[in-house]
Amino acid sequence: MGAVTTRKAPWRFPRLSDPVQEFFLCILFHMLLPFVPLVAEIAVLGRVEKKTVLLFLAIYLVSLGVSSHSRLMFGATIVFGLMYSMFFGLAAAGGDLAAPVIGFGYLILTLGMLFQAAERYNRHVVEQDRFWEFTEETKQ
Amino acid sequence: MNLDPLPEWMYALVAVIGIILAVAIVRRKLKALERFVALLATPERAHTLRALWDEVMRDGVATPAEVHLLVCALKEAAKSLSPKDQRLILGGFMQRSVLGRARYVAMIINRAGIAEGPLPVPVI
Repeated sequence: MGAVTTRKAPWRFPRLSDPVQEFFLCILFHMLLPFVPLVAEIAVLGRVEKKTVLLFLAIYLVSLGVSSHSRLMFGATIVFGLMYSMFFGLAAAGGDLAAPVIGFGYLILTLGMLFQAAERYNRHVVEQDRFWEFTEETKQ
Repeated sequence: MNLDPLPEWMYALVAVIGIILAVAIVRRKLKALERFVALLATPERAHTLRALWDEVMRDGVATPAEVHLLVCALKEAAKSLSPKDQRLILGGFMQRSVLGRARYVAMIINRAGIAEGPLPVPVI
């Protein structure tokens, strides 16, 4: 009887697990895609108008908050979103404010994004939550 | 309106604080999961869960009702955790997606060494 020969499995390119893929998908679509208009403005004008930044901050902060599971994050981003909507209105009307509005906006944006990234890691990688649920239909 | 940027050190400081906060949020969750897995690995609990897992996996797939059974068993076991850990662990069972819940259950059971492999839920 001949010896049993085993064939070595072919090398496979390593693949990210589904939860990790969904986490990065979330970062890409939920957190980075909204920056596209700013990038487009830089591409066309070579700079971003300050009014655009104020409008972006108003909308982006709210969009981060409404998808968060944290009540504090939700409440805080709604308040900041309303504040920056008001600042945008003031800037559009040529109003004047002493506080460094955009500077604080960047700080809030940084904190909000980091907090959201951590929360999303917990949801998609640790809790294995799906990013796109609308494709799901299960058999009973 | 004053639209000038703030000093650079302030951005760096806030970024560092944000990163520390983010790491703390993730670490707290992972620690709670570690304690839960250790709790499940006790022989009595592991035996009960293993029997339930085998029952569910008899036909190779799990229906949403069977996933719910396993979720209930894990929720019951989580009652022995501290209230803070319970809140962190139970969040994963409240997700809307059945596939997500099945993946979470399988991940916990696999980590506790009770069973191996995924919990496949048939999708239409």
